[in-house]
Amino acid sequence: MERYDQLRGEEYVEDWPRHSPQDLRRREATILAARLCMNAALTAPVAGGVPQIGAHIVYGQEELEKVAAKMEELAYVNVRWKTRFLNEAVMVRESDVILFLGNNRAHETPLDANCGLCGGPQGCAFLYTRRDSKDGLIDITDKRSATPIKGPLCGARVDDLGYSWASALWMAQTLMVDARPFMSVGLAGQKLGYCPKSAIVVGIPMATVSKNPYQDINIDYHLVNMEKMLDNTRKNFVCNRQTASGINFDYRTQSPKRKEE
Amino acid sequence: MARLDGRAAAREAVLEAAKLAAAAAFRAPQLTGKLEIEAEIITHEDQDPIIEFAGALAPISPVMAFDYQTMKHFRERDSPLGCLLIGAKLDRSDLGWDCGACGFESCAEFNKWSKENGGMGLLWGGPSCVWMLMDWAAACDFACAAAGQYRMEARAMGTIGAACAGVGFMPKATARVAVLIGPPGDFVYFSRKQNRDHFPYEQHRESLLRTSPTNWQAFPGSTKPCIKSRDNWWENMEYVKWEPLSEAEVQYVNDTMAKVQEVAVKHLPNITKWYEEKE
Repeated sequence: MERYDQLRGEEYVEDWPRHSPQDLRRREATILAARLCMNAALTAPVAGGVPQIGAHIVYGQEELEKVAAKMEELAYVNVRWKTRFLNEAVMVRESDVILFLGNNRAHETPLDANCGLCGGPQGCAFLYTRRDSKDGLIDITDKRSATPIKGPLCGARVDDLGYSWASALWMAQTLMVDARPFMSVGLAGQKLGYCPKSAIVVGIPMATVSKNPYQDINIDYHLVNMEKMLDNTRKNFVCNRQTASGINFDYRTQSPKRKEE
Repeated sequence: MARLDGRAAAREAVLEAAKLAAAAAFRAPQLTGKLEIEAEIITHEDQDPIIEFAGALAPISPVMAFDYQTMKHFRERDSPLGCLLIGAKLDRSDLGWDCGACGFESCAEFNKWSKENGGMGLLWGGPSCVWMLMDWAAACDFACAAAGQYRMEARAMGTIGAACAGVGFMPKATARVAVLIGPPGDFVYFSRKQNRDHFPYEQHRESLLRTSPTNWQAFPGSTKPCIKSRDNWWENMEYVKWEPLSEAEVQYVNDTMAKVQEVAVKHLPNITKWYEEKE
């Protein structure tokens, strides 16, 4: 029974200041939720029940910042990506944890069912004739690619990845944790080496704060967001203290008088 | 009405669960935020053409045969069975992400190739934009999860989705999955007890031998190992060979597909008329 005597304590939790001890206690629960979402992803219904999902859980101020910075870098690769990637990089900075989910078979060990998702009437020939293969075995050692993702990929395996991340999202909703699937986060994570065996990766940032970081996004969000607001407040208020009143009296012995005094 | 019969109430709940599963499909999160999914709930006699099509294909497709037997079993007993069909058109992309995952350098090239070469594969149409494809998958997953949340047995079936396509359901979609929901009970779509009598022990055994011969493989030193297919496997040894289908086997496949085509032609006008009238 002695060990139960040790089971006591207290934990104060508040989501401010960010990354303070009380905030880190809160984030720990989100990381736990991310692990449960990962379990949901791994038990999602997939074709033939074949194991194929790689998962990577990433958290910590520096780690999230690396992902956000990579997204900002990628934002300028394609003009159609820019707004999404920049907005979503802000969301990553406001997240507690990212769950990356990728498919480890879509490029190397397809379903081989001639299903048609990747190339229609050509069936599996579509994929095999566009990848290095020998006797039906695909060689993925050449990682060079003219495109951000090296395709084509097995449509059935990609389909399965969709079921997988959707199950993770279902679990997040059940746990009342805010979460959202993003191509931008997944691509940045893939470029940083997360889900190292996967051909395609989806990133799911998750957070448990009062306002869902992934909804109700204002215009020019990469310029107008909480972090920028706070930073501009810091920048300005130190000046305001001096220019508005601070330099005109000695707080220890003086206080500005009201007119009627 | 002060009292409800529990079994009757559970039967009625199947349709309600299917409706809520459809609602969940529309609520599913998306990567693109752009995909329009379609959903229909097919019940009672409207399931008959689907079952007939699946039955025609069953002799050459064991996976179709399993799902055919399941649907037929419940339909013959008038068991409550919801067929929630979820489809989407995935063969055109206006995303402009040019990610390359589809195998083309740009979305424009994907669209061009799709226009000239796209069409149906064995189960689904293609090519498909991978991001829209995953959004469609998420809708199907959410439908299954919603049904599961209500403890309704459910299974997403590409086979029955393809059978729906074959007889004309959702003509504008390139991909369709049928989420079968109900009847209430355990082991409906997994460890399917209702299918037991259609697949005898010998058929199970032969399927395992065919699909996993290495499990029964004898010493491979000869480089032509025999398969231990019987208790006294060392007498009149048997071997795995690979070769194209024989003429008779090809003929059987072709004859079966001709029958499948007949079923499709029989039902297509009636089913597609529903869509024409809706427009």
